[in-house]
Order: sequence, then structure tokens, then C-alpha cells
Amino acid sequence: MNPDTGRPGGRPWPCVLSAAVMLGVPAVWTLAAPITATASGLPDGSSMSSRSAAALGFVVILVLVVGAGSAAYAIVSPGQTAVAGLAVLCAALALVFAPVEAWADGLSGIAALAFLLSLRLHAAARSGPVEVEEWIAARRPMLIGAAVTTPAAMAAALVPSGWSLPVAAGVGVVAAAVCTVALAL
Amino acid sequence: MAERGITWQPAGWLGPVVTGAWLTALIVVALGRADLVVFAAPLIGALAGGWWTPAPPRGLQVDAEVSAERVFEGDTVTLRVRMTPPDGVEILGVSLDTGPGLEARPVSWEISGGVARGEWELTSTRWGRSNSWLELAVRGAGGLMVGRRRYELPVVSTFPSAGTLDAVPRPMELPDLLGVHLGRRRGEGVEFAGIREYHSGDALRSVNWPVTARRGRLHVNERLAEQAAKVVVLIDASLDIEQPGGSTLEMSVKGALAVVQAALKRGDRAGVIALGGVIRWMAPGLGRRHLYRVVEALIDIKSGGGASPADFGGFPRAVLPTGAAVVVFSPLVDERVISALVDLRRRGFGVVVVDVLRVEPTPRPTSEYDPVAVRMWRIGRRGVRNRLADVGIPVGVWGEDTELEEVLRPMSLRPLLGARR
Repeated sequence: MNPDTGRPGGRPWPCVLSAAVMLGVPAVWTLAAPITATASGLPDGSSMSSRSAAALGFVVILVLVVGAGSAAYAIVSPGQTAVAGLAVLCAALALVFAPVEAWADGLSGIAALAFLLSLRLHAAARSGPVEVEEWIAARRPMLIGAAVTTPAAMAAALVPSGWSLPVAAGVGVVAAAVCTVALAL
Repeated sequence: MAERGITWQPAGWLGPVVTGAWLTALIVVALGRADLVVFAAPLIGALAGGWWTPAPPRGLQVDAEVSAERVFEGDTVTLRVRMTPPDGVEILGVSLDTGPGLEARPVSWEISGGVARGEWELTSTRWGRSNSWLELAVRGAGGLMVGRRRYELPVVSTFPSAGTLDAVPRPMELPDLLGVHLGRRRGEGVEFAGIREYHSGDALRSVNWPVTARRGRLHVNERLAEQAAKVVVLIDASLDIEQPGGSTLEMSVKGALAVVQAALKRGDRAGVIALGGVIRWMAPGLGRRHLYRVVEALIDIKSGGGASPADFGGFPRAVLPTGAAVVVFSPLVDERVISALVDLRRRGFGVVVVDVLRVEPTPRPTSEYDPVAVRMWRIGRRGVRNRLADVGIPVGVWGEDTELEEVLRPMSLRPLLGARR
């Protein structure tokens, strides 16, 4: 029994924005560029028939629609963490079917993290007033973790595979140093 | 104010997420799709960052306040709770678990500046001591850990509400205590008792001058002493049988309180003995403070047949003083209690019994023998009452449409005779 917890309002707009970015990246890639399956292990793009491409596009759109629906439902009912997880899973599935550049992968991943965190903020704001700065400060370790791993992973994906590990390690160390300096300041 | 430890455990969603992440990583490696690692990198980093956060603190300050810890049945008290979690710990929700005898209604709940404040209205529905607990659910380490804490709230003691009563049985033999009853003893009262010759030491104001003038010698008026009675209420808590209008124990406690209240109001000494799971007693006393002591003793009575004695020889004389009137509330089901009452009567106490059992066994419609068994049971009940009446214990039945006053009135018209020993 939680007395009077169901207050309307909350902070839905960061959730909407982050969900739009998370699902928008694979959507834009699918709609703007012809589907090439070179990186996905599927048959080569040149040999892929227009029918197969259309079917794959349909699947991606279907997955994104499901993801958008899940995201909308999660925003309406922020307590439903499983539905939020389904939205993130749909974004990941869309990226499997529609391979994008490494920076777009990273952008979508960061948006996914922002979506999950903003949902939590939304839920907290619905149950009472929330100091956003304090709220973010409480999640600082998670944000630092994401800030270290994301550039490292993106850098590793951009360089040739032989250099990926040392480059990822170097970028990770630099990112960690930047975070430490930023926090110290 | 209390500092309470939180029991932390990984959040329920963490297991599936970690398992899913491992499976995804395996699939990524199997498909050779390293680009998906970039998508998962922020989530993995956040998970790792949260996991490496220092363990969330265990302390949680809870201030709980009840507007009144002693109430009567039907009264409402306000419970205010203020919870201050440490940094990095967020309160998800609270639930109030009230024991039997209390009903909770949420009034308000808000979290501001990290401090949660809640207010409930607790309505007392049955006498007794009611425990209630606050169950807190909290989240820490960025949501990776969830914690629970069960906090025991102040006990609310509910006093039984008793009706007013005028008729209280009193014994024939009154002790030498100042009171309102006129006994046989001569003393300093106002009621005329007789005339006798003057003895040295008699007060001059008690000289009866007309008689003195007629007889030529000093004569004085004698007066009856005004004495107090001792009334002991005995509750048979060996069984608690549910029935319409309140269980047998509930009726017994309310009846006992009404008798004690009426006796104290009349200026008598009143005490209480409860036979049940735990024997409790309160020696006869006087005044309002004593009434509250009796009430405190009454609300701790628990039913159970473990401690019903076969006789009353073991009770201290202060608890069961010689010559006291004993008013018994009992369903008259436990043979040990019935034997004990007979023993009590034979020891010289004036005893009256109020039978609080209002139900009888229900015969099964399909059984031919059940109606016969019920008739035998009724005969047995009558036999118990006759057996008690034979030794001089009147039994009144407190029925559903009967007031306690109606039951005790006939028994209070004359003083109760004690047996000659």
C-alpha cells in the first residue's frame, strides 16, 4: 500500500527524446540507405534481390514499431521495466538487421542508456518532487562507466581489428582521466 | 527515532539482464558482429559503474509517532512516519502491516528533498495490544541493489469499552473497610441500629437524651457501620468461542470491566482474575488509578486452557480475599473451571456466574444422530447450571438480546451468602 503515490505529470520529455534517438538511428539508416547486408553476414548487397531487401526493411520497420510502442507504454507506465527493456531490445534487433556506422551504434546505445535512466527519473518525479541535480549525482558512477566504455568501443570498431584492443584500452584510459579531471574540477 | 539497518540484495532484474548480456555477447562473437558491442558499451559501462559503487549504507532513520498509545475501542489515532534515507538511497514505497485489532487508512504520502513523510489513520476495532509494522522498500547503488526493512511501530493499547452497570453483587460479610454498604457491624455510620447503655468512651453526641431521661441512666444510640465490599471478577479464558455479538472472551472482558467500573464507582474494592493461557490477576483496590491497572491487566488476557486450575487454593489471599463476592464470566464448557467454581463456593465465597455462551452445536442436516446429540448437549448444559445452583451459585445467561444489567440485577438484590466453614 502506497498512499497517494500516483501523481500525474512526471518528466516524460527526456524519455520521449531519448527513445526517439534510440529508435530513430536504425530507422533513419533503414529508410535513407538501401539495406546492405555486408557486415551482417547476410548475402552480399549486390546479390541481394530487391524482394529480400524489401522483406528485410519490413522486418526492421516492424521491429521499430514494436519498439516505439513499448517505449510509449513504458513512458505511460514507468514502473514497467520489462517493457522498457523490450524497447531497448527492439533497437538492438533493428541494428542487427540494419547495420550502421560505429558512431551511430554508440549514439543509439547512449540513447538507450539515457532512455532507461530518464524513465527512472520520470517514475521518481511522478511519485514526488525530485531534485534533478541530486538525482543525477546519485547515478554518477553509472554515467562515468558509460563515458569510459562508449568511446573506447567506438574507437575499437573504427580502427583495423589488429589495433582494436590497444586503441580501446588507450581511449578508455584517456576517457577515465578526462572524467577524473572533470569531477575534480 | 530509530536508526535501522537495511538488508540489501541485488535488484530482481539484474540476474536476467546479466544473463541476457552474456548471451548477447556470445551471439555477437558467434556472428562476428562486433559493431553491436558499441551499442551495448554504454549499458555495460553503466552496469559496471553502478556495480563498483561502494556498498549502499545500511542505516535508515525512521521517526514514527502515534498521536495516542492508549485508546478505547472505536477511537482513531494518527500515525506519522518520517523516513530519512542516507545519500544514494531512494525510498520506493512503504506498506503498513497492522495486526488484528487495528485498521489503517492512508492519509498522505510525499517524498521531498529525499525525506519521505507518511500519515495514516489507525482505527481500533478490538481491545488488546496491537502491533503494527512498516515495511520499507528502498533502492541503492543506482538501482542495482534493492533493500527492505521492517520497522516495528509503537504498540497501541486498546481498552475495551464497557457499558454502564448499576447492579453489582455484594457479599453478606463485609470487611472492616470504609464504604457505602450497611452491614451487621455497629460503627460510625448514620443508619440507626439500636440503643444501649452508656459506656465510658462513648461520644457525648451519641447520647439519646429522651431515653436517658425516661430510664434515669445514660443511654446512647448505636449506628451501623458503613463498609465497603470486595468484588472479584473471574474471567474464564480457557476457551474463546466465536459467536454473534462478540466472542466469549470478548464478552467476558467487557462484562468484567463493566462490573469493576460499577464496583469502583460505588466505592467498593474490585479486582480481577483471569484463568486461561496465562493466569493474570489484580488484587482488589480502590479508585480510578486502580481501574486503569485492571484495564491494563484485562487487555493482556489470552485464551488457552493450559493454566486453568482445578481449585482456587493456590491464589494469594490478597487476590482472593475471604468474604469477597466473586462474579464469574464463563462459557461453562471447561470441566476444570466448573469444579474450581464449586470448590470456591465451598471455601466460603459468594459466587455468581454469568454464562457468556450464546451458540450451540449445529446439527448436520444429513445426520440422524446430531439432533439427539445436540439435545443431550443442552441437557448437559442444564445439568451444569443445576449442579452450580445446588451448591448455591446462581447462573445467569447473558443472551444476545439481554443486557448485562438484566442478568446481574436479580443476583444483586440480596447480598451473597458465604458458606459456613
